[in-house]
Amino acid sequence: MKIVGMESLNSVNKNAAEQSASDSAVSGDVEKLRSILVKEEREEIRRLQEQVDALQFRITDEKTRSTDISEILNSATQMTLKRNEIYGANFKPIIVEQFQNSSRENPEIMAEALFPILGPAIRKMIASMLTPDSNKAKRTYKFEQIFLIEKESGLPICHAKSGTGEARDADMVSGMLTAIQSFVQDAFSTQEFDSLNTLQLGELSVWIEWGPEAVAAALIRGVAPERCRIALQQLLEDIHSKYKQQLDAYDGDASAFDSVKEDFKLFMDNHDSRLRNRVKGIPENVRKKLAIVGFLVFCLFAWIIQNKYDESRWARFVKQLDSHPGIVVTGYERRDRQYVVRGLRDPLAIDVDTLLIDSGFKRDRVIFNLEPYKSMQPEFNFRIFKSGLLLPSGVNWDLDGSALKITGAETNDWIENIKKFNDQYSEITHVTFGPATQ
Amino acid sequence: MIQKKICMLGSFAVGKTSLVRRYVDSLFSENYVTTIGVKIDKKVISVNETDLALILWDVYGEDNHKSVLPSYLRGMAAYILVIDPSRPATFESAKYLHTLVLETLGPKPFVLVLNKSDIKSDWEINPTIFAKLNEAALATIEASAKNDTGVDEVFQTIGNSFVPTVL
Repeated sequence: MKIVGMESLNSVNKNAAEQSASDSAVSGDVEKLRSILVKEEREEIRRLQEQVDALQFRITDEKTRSTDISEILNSATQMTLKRNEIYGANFKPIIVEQFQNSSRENPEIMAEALFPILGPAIRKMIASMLTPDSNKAKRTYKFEQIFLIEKESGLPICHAKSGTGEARDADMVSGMLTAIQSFVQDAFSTQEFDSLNTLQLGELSVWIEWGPEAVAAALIRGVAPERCRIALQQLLEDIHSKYKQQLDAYDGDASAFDSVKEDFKLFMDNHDSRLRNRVKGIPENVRKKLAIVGFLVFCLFAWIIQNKYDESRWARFVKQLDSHPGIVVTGYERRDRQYVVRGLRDPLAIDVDTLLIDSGFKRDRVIFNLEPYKSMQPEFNFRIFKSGLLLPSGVNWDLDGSALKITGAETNDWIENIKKFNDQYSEITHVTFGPATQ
Repeated sequence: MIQKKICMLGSFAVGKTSLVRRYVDSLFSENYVTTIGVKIDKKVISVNETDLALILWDVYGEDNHKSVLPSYLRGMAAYILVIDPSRPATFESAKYLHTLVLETLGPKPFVLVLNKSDIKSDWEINPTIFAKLNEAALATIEASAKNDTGVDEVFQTIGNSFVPTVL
């Protein structure tokens, strides 16, 4: 049974193997056929699968995803804000809260971040507060003391203080100022010609100006404008110029510099903002009104002066016009900006426009109402002679009042013509003829 | 009034400041000596009926002497050279400072002060340096700021050198 069974089994197995081989062959054929039939679809699926894998990697890999988002974040945010304003509003409290938390937890980071902004901002604010020439320059300053100190020894040459306030011993203060200058110069190895120019403590400051022989140190309460420093420099220069010999010979006796004290006091008075502000103390609106009134008064005066000048010039012109032969001025007046002249004018008299040009008046400012007439003035009659007879060359004439003397060689006919012309047109009373003077 | 700048020179802790404190009513704190290296005081004395203001520059001294700023010496009319003979090293300091003055400003009148005479038993005088300085000085005076002995004499001697004696 066992053997039969084995054989049967083997036979079955054999059959199965054969069947299997047969199936495999069929299967291989089917697969081959399938691969032929769906080759393109398989290729497409493979390609799609690769894309899916790549996308999967892009989504799951943090670095790649960050790169992708960063590329669109800016435009996406802007687009979102543009589409929906609430989106931006929602962000604000989150940012503010984070900002507060960060400031609280680690203020150093915030301080470091803000330092580049705060530094210039603070400096700008302080500069605007301290700059006396700014719009806020109404702050006061006062020169309280000025020292003139011998440069080498630090001995005081002169000391002046404003008012009656107490001042520490000028001798010792001068010495200490000099010592401080030496200390700063030596301690910080500055250049030999560098010098300490300002000491500042709160609202007090000491300006130190250096001259060849002496130093001027001014104690100032408040913030004085830079122009005061320039004035102090000029004062020191003046002292050096005025007291050159005394400074050169200074050996501890300061009696030669007594008058400098008055110069210092005058300087302090002239540079006391409180005294200056007494004028400035007038309210702004009142000052503006005063300025306007002042300007109007100035204009009024200018107009009056101009008018007076014009009147005077016009009177001179009329007088000059009237003095010309052949012109008689009977009256004149002013109409608005124009002058009107009334009178008589001989046609042979000088052209009034020529006179007007010489006087400087514009033609359109003057109206001449001059009636024609015949002048009887002798010198004017002589012009008639000249114009009517054309006295030839070689003939000389001399007019004496109303008597005309003619000398020269001419024909009798010409002489007769002159006599006839004189009788008819001229008022020359005597015409005499003489021989040629040559 | 004539004014003269006088420098107090000497090694650290020889008693310069104590001498000045004994002699004048100070305006400034003594801290100045150790901060900026100098403190300035003033004493008006009368010499032959002439008022004279001594502007005293108390210059900080250290044992290595190098800290004395030569600029503090500029313009001085005379100086007071202080030695503590109980510390022999201060003779060397005095010699150095005296030489510094000579090199910086040339010869200037000075008074040599042997200070702390109240502990004279501890003195150890350097004979060589002492002889040299003693010879160059206007006067050598033993003083004690503690006991107030010789102090006035030091400053009066300096003052006398500026005003001619009235015969």
